[in-house]
Amino acid sequence: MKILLIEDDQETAGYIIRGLKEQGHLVDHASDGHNGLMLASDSSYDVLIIDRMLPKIDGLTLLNMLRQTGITTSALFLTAMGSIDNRVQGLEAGADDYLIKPFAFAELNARINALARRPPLEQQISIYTVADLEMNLIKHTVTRARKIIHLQPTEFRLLEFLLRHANTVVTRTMLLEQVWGFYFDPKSSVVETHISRLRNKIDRGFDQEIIQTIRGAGYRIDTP
Amino acid sequence: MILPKFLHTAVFRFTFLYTCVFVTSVALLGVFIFFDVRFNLEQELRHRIESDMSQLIGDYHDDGLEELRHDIRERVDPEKTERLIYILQSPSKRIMFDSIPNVPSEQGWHYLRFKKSNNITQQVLVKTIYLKKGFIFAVGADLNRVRIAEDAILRSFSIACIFILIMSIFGGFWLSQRFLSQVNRIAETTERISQGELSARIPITGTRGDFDYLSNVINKMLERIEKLVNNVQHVSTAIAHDLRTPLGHLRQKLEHHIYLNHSQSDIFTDAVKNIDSILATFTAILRIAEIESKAQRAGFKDLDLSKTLNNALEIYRAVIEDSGKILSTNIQKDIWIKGDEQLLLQMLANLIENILQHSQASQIIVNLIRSNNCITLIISDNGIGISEEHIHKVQQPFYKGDASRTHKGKGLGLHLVAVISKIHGLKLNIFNVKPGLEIKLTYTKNINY
Repeated sequence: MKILLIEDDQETAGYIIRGLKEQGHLVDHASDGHNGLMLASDSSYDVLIIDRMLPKIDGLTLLNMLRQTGITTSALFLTAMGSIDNRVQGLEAGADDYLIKPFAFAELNARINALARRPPLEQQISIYTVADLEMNLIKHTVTRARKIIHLQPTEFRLLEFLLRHANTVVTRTMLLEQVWGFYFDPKSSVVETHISRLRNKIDRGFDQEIIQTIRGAGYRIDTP
Repeated sequence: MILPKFLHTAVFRFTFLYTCVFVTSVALLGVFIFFDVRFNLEQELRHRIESDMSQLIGDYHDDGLEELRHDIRERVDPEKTERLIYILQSPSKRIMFDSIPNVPSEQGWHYLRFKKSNNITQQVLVKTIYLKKGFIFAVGADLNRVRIAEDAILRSFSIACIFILIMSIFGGFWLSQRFLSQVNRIAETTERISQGELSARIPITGTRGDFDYLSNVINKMLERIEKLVNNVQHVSTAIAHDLRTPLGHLRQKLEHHIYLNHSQSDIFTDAVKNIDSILATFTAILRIAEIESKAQRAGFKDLDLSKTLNNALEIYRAVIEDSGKILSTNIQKDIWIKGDEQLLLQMLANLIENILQHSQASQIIVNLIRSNNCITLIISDNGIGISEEHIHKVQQPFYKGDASRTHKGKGLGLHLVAVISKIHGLKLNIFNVKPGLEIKLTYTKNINY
């Protein structure tokens, strides 16, 4: 995957570049807004990682300019500006995701992968299948080995999100934000509890576990 | 007795007082003039009587009784108006010249009051003197002129009083309105400030009056307070913000080390956890500062509180049940308020988390009801509650309750609840219900914000 990192803090940039290279990605780096804009205009990148507080051109303006020139490369803001309003501004400027510094590398990695593998918006999937599990979004049903499984609304949304991001790691924070709209970190094990209930319903009594736990990172559903 | 509402207003009281003072002073002036005029008019009559009598008595002493009669006869010419009254009484009590019902037997000044033949009461002032051989001589004056003057004064002052009454009611009302509108301006401003709008200032009218002076002094004080508050907020936010970057770098290094060495060492993972915990505190501080400095209810939308509450409970129900607690709810549908959904969700989450972490309860009850203009959300549990001495302090930041209790929290959860509820105009009350704790949030419509 080809990634452009626009980040002025050398230490953070070094850490991200090292991490991403270890994951086998190609990384270009721009340390100010001006260079970032020049490089990003190339549009051969899969994902842009943009800091908001940049010299010369700030991240928000930069992304606005890119979007206005028709460049639709997936973009993630990686910033210390973490207020609710900041996030709204970022997403309104055309970012696809918003991650607040400081961050865990696993979180950033998972989010980049989710962005890169995101299916185009127009493509509507109505049926997901993994092994013998089938989820029908139109009929709103889930079956495993042709047996109907009754899920609570929140469990249904959780499974749908995991399937939509099949083959990528989904972190706890991604689930909190995108399944439940929690932009804060609850102390209770909300995610773990729901995952374990969902597992009980779809995996119990079957040899093959549908939902994998990736230690230190999150959860993943693999499709062949 | 219940008085009408306007009787309690400051405008009414001010006007009433103003009118009373004004009318009383005019009435006092009237009384003073009344007595002064009466005294002077009477004094003048006495002088006239005195001088006429001394002239007549002089003639009497020189030329005898006949001359006196002659003089009086000249004076009692019926064509003369405003003449004095003359009475001469013989020893046989026969009265000559003017007649009065009874001539006083003692010498000196007398006030006499009698009815005339045409039934009009007449008042006269007379001076009597004894002559030789048992004759009594009296000279007097009609007091009617004095009465007419008195009546005129009374009448004109009564009319003046009525006018002054009307004028002073209007004047007092106008003045007090003016005065109170200035007081109200100050009150409105302080009200806005107490609701967190620290930049509010009292408008200056430019009349350079006492109120402008007072407003200026208050405004200066407000400026100072605003600066101090902003400084405190700025410093705490800056600390939290600036420490995040080096902590972030530290975290990156530790994480990289764990990755490179495939280290499963608990020391490094624990260190990352510690850093995350510090960062979480900073995030909470920044979040609180953000909410507190948020422009008043800016960006609030109409939202279905019932739905938001149901969402929060749907997320937490599994956690609550898995921790062995029973959750019962009674949530009325379609209760709408103006607010920020994310903030309200965080507030509700914090309230439930608070019970999960600290209460040791076995049951949680959530009620959302609307009655009249009031929306009430009650979240109660049957846990250990909070001791009475601490219950008032739990809304303060970094307050961690009883020192004896093992606390995992940072003491920011309920403070955040207090901050979020405040900007939504929700009144937060926390009670011990023995057993357990009841958290009550009330929203009354028509609150001015």
